[in-house]
Amino acid sequence: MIDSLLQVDFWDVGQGDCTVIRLPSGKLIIIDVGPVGSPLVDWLNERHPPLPIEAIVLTHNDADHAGALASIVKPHGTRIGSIRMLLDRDRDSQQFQKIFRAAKEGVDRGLYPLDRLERGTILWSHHETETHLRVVHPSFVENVEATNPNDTSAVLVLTSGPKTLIAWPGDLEIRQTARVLGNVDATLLFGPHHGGPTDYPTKAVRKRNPELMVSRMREIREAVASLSPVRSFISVGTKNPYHHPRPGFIKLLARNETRVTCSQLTLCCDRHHVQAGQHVFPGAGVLGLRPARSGVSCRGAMRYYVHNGALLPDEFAAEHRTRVAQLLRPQCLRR
Amino acid sequence: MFIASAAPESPPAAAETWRINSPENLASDTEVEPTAFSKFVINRNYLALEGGRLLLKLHKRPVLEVNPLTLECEVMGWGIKLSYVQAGEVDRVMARRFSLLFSKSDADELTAEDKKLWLSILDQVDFTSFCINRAAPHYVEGQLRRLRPDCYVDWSDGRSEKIAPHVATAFSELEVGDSFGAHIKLGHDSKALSVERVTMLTSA
Repeated sequence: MIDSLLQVDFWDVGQGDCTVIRLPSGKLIIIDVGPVGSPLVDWLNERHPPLPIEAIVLTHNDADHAGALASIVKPHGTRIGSIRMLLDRDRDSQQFQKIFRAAKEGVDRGLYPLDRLERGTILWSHHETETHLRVVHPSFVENVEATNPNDTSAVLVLTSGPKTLIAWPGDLEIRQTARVLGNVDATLLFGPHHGGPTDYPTKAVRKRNPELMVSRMREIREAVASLSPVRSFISVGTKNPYHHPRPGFIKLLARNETRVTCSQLTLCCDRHHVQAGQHVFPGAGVLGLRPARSGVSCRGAMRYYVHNGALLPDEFAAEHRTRVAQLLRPQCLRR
Repeated sequence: MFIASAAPESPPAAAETWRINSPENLASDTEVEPTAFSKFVINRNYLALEGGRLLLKLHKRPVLEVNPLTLECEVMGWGIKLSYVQAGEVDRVMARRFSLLFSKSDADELTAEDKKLWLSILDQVDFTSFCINRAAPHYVEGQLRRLRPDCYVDWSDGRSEKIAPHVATAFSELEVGDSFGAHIKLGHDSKALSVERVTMLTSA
C-alpha cells in the first residue's frame, strides 16, 4: 500500500455517484452517497470500530447521488461532522423534502450542522502540502438562477499546490464544466453526468437539428480540449435507462488522450458480456469495498492515492486495461 | 472415487478406503511420470460458510491437480496445497481461504501476493451475491402507494417497487399515503427481501 496523504475511492454504486476520501486522520469525506441500496451503507455498517465521517457533501439532490442519505444518517448520525447540500429545486418538491428531511434529522437531534454548499467553501485543507478540497460552483447567484437541478450541481476540486488533481462536476453540462474550471487541467475528471453530459446530443437530436448541432459539437470539442484531463472516471450503471455513457463522448475524451474508466459495463462496449452478467474486473472486491447490487462491473470501484502532490491509480489499473482490451467494442479504447 | 471423497458428507467407509490406500501399501508396475499431473474437477457449485448460513456460489468448479510423486493436491487458482489424506477437507480449506482473504481485504491488510490470489479467487466466485446475502438490513424511507391487492412502495430515491406479498405484511398497519422508515433487507437490484422495525414518519 502506498504511504499516501489521501486515499480516494470512487465507488461502484450502479447508476449513481459516490466518492469516499480517507483523510490522514482516518476520517472520511463522502462526496455523494449513491442511490438507495448503495454498497457504501453496507461497508460503513461493517466497520468496527465505526469510522468517523468528517463531512457528507451532496453535489445535488438527485436520487442517484443522495438517495442513500437516510440509510447513513440514521445509524451513523453521531459520527458525522457536517452535511453540506444545495437548494437546487423548489423547496416544497417531494424530492427535495425527502433528502432535506433525512439530512435535517441529525440537526434536530443536535448531532451536526447542515450547511449550504457554495462557491468558496473549503471542505478540507492540509497546509503543509497545500492540498485543499473546495467548492468552485455554484455561487449564490448561479444557484438561484439555475433552471434545473443539473445546472446548479456543485463542482468540487481537489488541488495540491498549483495542480488540480480531481474535479467532481456532478451532473453539470460539459460546456459549463469547462467554463467553471476555466483552463485548469485537472488530472482526473469525474464524469460528468455519468458520461452523458446533458448538452451532448444524441444521434437522433443531431439528425433533427444538423446545423445547430455542428456549432454545439464544436463547443463541446473545445470544452473537452480545454479540460483535457489525463484520466476520467465515469460512474455509470449497466441497466440505466438514459443511454449513459454516450459512446461519442467517451471517444471524444479518448481522442484527447484521456484514459477513461467506467465503473460498470454497458451495452455499447460488449452486449454479450452484459447479457451473460460477466464482470470484467471485480474492483470493489480487490479493494476491500462492497460491490453494487445491480449491473455488471467493468472496473467496479477504483482507488487513487494522493502522494507527493501527484495522483496515482491503484495497482490494478493495468490488469483492468488488459481485460478491457478483450471486450467486443471497448469505447474507451476507440480513437 | 477421489472426487466423491472430497465431499464433507462422505460416509465413514470412504475414510476407511483412504487408510487402506496409504502410500506404503501402494504398488505399481509402471514408473510414475513426474510431470504427468492428474487433474480432477471437484463437483461443487457452492461453498458453505458460517456453518451453511451463507453460501458462496462458484462460477467455475474447482480443479484439483495431483502430483503423482508427492501425492500433493493443489486447488488451482486458490493457492491451496494439501496432502492427499486431507482431500476430504478441501471444501473447508477453500472456505477458510476465502474468509481469510476477505477479512484481510476488508482490513486493508493484503500483501502483494495476497492481492494476486484474492483477484484470482474473486474471478471464480459470485462475490456480489455473497456480499448482498451477508449484509445487514438498511434503514430506508418510503411512502406506501398501494397496499391491496398488490403492495407498491415509492422509495426515497424515487424508485417505485412492487413488494412481494409475504414481505408486504409488515406494512399492514399503514394506510395508503403514509410515509415510513423501516429496516429493509435488500437483494439484487435493491429489491426488498424482508421488512422489519417499521416506523411511521409523522412529520411527513
